[in-house]
Amino acid sequence: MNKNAVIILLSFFSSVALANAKFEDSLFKNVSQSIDNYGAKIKQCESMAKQNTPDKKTLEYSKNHIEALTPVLPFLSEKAFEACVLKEKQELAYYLLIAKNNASRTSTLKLVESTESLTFHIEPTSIEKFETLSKVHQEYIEKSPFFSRPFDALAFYEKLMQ
Amino acid sequence: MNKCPAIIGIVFDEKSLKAIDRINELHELERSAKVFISLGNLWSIFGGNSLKGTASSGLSKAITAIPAKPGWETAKNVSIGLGRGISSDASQTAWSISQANWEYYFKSYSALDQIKLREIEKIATFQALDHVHDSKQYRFWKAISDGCKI
Repeated sequence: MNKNAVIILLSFFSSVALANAKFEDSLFKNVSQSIDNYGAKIKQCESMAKQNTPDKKTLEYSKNHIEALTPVLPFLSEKAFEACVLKEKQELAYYLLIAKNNASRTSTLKLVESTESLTFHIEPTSIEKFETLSKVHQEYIEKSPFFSRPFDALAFYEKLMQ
Repeated sequence: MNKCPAIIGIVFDEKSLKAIDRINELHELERSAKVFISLGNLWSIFGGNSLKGTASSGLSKAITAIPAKPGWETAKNVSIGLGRGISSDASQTAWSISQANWEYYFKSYSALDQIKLREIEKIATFQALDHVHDSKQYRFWKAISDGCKI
């Protein structure tokens, strides 16, 4: 075979291999970077939760309805936190899905698998309990600035118990 | 973090035991994700495109060694073009290893800790408020939420 043809073929195949490696790298980097962004956002929202303290009115209202509110506190806290990290979590889900369907490197696929189970596990929540709350409570909670931002549910509960 | 309390005579119910299993699973998942993030980064840095700068510098040298005989001219031109395409960012590649790859590596490594701790806190909060009538289990889950380890 002509030497030129061999070199052209080799050049072609090495270009394809390089493009493939570059694509695999980009899949991994996108997942890795979105993990980083999500972690950073969690930190930011946790700091927001620590700073979010209830006003007198919210505290008083909650103390008066402590029996009804206590079972839904985890759901309320989770809902506010999820709203805070929503963009970054969606981005992570998107890149995990892209990598899951396109990556061929085992390390990337295994990273996707572990991160997915770490982040997107469905926990039992108290949404059902929230829905059984009276309309008055539901409306009050939905309008409350305290409950709409991330908050420390256990610290709040202990304040109610004081 | 508060001092972790000693809780004597605690009896876990089924919900708590399931939650403890999930926390142990989270530790495993985080460890596994860290291993694969390390492997992926090492692959990117030493086996993937980041290496192309170094490899292509060698390739450029090899291309210049192709003799300038009439039959080899086309091959040499094609190879030089390819070599330029690959090696034009040799200096940039060195930057990309030191700045980007390691940065991604350490950031995403610690972000995995953050994600795991958030999940544990979520479970602990849920369990604590589910056990407000059982002071021992409540104290246990409150301690976990405050950062005590199982």
